[in-house]
Amino acid sequence: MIAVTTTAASQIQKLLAKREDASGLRVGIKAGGCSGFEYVFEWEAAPKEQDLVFEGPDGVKVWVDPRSHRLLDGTTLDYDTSLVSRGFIFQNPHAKQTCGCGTSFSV
Amino acid sequence: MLRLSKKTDYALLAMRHLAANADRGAVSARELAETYDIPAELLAKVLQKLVRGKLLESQQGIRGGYALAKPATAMSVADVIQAVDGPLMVTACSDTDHSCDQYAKCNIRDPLWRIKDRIVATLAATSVAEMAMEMPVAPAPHPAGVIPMQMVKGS
Repeated sequence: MIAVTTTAASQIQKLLAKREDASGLRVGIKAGGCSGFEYVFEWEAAPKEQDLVFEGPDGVKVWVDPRSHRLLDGTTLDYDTSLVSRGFIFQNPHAKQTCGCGTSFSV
Repeated sequence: MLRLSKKTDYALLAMRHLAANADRGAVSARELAETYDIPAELLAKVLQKLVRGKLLESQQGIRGGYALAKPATAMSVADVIQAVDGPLMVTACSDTDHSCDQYAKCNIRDPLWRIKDRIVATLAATSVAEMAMEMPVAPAPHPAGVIPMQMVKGS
């Protein structure tokens, strides 16, 4: 199960509204980055057959492939709007260490 | 970083202790200092500020000490902070102090002042009595603003 902050949900909705070719956001994990794994985002028109599909406030849809979900289960997707940075961030309970860029982590 | 000063921490510890022990009458500064490992001289200055702010009364004599000047329900955390550190500020400037090089061109002042107003309102809505309640803080099922997503497809 994943959760989303109200800020992230409204940001997803805002970005989706600008894209005619997408109906949801794919979040996933791939090997790479400076800490072993990195998060990936893709705007996609539809989920794949095996994807887990999550629905949040105002119908915001996020899909996750089962393999990524093993390392994303319990994660909260947030959107950083601080003065110094801006962008999606993961609060992932599986991540033991994250690197400064915020998109890479180790378990 | 936004944080309370150490003096305010000490003031709140003292106020909370006095509220929790209101039935005992005055409590000595020494008891407060020893209970919370607060340097005695610093605590004395903090307690004097709370007396000047009319939040505490000092009582002379062998059983003297400090007691709340008003019911704990009638004093807020904001009152305590302001008595010790003055008005709560989050920016160097204020309505009356424009001595900042960026003041004329600043476009974050109003949002930051609105944030400050919200912080002050929360602090003003929390009484010293509430701080003295021995109630375990119930863990929130989810932090504020976090919404669990519903799995609509998958295992």
